[in-house]
Formats: sequence, structure tokens, C-alpha cells
Amino acid sequence: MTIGKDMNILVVDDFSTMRRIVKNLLHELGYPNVAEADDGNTALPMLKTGKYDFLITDWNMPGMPGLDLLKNVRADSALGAMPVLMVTAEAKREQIIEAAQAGVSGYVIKPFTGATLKEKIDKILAQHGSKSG
Amino acid sequence: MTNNSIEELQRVARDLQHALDEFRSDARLTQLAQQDVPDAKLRLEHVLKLTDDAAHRTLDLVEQSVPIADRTALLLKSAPELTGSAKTTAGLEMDQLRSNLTEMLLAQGYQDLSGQILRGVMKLVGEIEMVLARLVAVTGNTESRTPLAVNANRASVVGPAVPGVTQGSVVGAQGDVDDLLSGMGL
Repeated sequence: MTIGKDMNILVVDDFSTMRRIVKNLLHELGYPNVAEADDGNTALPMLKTGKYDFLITDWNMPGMPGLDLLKNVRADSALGAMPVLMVTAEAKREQIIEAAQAGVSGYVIKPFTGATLKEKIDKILAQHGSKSG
Repeated sequence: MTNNSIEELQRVARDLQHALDEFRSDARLTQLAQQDVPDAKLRLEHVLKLTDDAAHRTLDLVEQSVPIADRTALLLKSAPELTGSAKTTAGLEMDQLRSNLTEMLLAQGYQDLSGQILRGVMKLVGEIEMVLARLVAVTGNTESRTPLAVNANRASVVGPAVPGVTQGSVVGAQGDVDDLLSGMGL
């Protein structure tokens, strides 16, 4: 699993405009390898190929919501430790707690700034670096 | 059964028949079920599409503008003719321009948030459409045989199912009411 500027990031959101915004921001932050999926159902098989190092996902998606995608990732022995950043409009306390209990690595509320996205990614990478170090 | 109970039952049955007759002859109800509510859903879908197209168009322009701004900034930095405060100003303004482009990128996030709200409302309208369709069918409205115009994935599950389901319950519901009334001499 690569960690750093060359890592393969998968962005999952049912709105193509949001995927595009996140992809552009990631490019600006110096992460060129960004792929997209429109739902947890399309994302999971992509993740299981082992190609991706970092997952950024929305919560509210019609097929497989982000929370279920997160749980599926954590339950998979090969994927289990993958950094997962949730970027979502869901802002209720109970939801954030639920995501944390399911093992989310970071949680960003929409609407967000580029600075916030960078801060959360950096924090996750720092934690991941020290764990695998 | 006492005479009072029978009279009470007959009164209830007549009230029910009267209510069904009113529904059956209510042109507005059919209009709502067949046209207005499905139209409302199509309109919301159209709004969703409009915002999607507009946000993507803006993103196209931002993506085109960013490399132009970056190249221009580089040109200005390396231009020997540009010196002193003019060079400083040019640099600051290019930074501002670049920052504005990022803000424009982020601002397109409205489409996702407004779109999620729209989808929630569309789902509700879809449920209302279903309820109205059943109501129209149950009251035996003859115009209700025309299938509703549907194209959303959930509505298309509901659309084709409605004629089959409601035909059954139309006969059942009306037949039950008629049986009840004829059994009581009405």
C-alpha cells in the first residue's frame, strides 16, 4: 500500500459534480492518481482489486451508502487498514459517532474548504505513517 | 343484531358509497394523479439536470482557466520587462486570480447539496403519486386505466405494477362494498 503523493485515491460520490470538485482539489494538493466511483456498489469491487491506497467517500448514496462501504472495507482482511475519509453533508452527532465506531479515519462536512480537505488528509497520512513506520 | 345496529351499519355503508361516488366524480383528483403530480416529479428532475449541466459547464471553464492562469503567472514572473512594484502587483493579482478559481471550483458544491434535497423531495412526490394512483383506481375511475408516465428507477418499478395491482384491488374494494350494500338491501 503506497502512502504519499503517488498513492491511488478512490473518490466515491453519487454526484458527478462533487467527484469532479474533489478530484480537482486533490490534483491541486499534488495527488495526481485519482479514480472515481458513483456508489458503494461500484466502489467495493474496485477496492477489492487491491489497486487503491486511500478512500474518500460520501455517505448518502442510493445503492450502498458510505457507512456500509466503510464497514465492508473494514471487514475485508485485505482492505481492513485502508485510510477512509468521509466527505458528507450528514452532520448529526449520532452519525459522526456511528462513523467513528465503524472505523472511519476522518470526517469532513460539506460544504468544505480546500484547506480543510488538505488538513484532514495530512492528518490521516501522518497517523498512517506512524502506524506502519 | 339490534335494529339500531343495522340502521347504523346501513348509514355507514351509505356514507361510504357517497364518499366513493364523490371521489369517482372528482376530476381534480384524476388530474392530480394522472398529470399534475407526475409532472411535478418531471419538473424536479429537470431542475436537477439544469443544475448538473450548469455546474459541469462552470467546472469545464475553471479547469480550462487554471492552466492558463498558471502559465501566465509564470510568464509574468520570468518577463524581464516587468520589474519592481509592477512585477509585485502582477504576482499578487495572479495569486488572487488563482485563488478565485479555486473558490469557484468549491462553489459548485451547491449542486450536490441542492441535488440531495431535490432527490428527497422527488422521492416524496413519487410516494404521493403512488398513493393518488391507488386512490383513483380504488374509486373505480375509468380514466385510471391509462398507465402513468414514469422514468425514475423507483417509479418505473411502481409504474408498471400499478395497473396490475390496482385492477385487482379495484374489483376487490368495489365488489366488497357492493356486496356489503346488496346484502343489506341497498
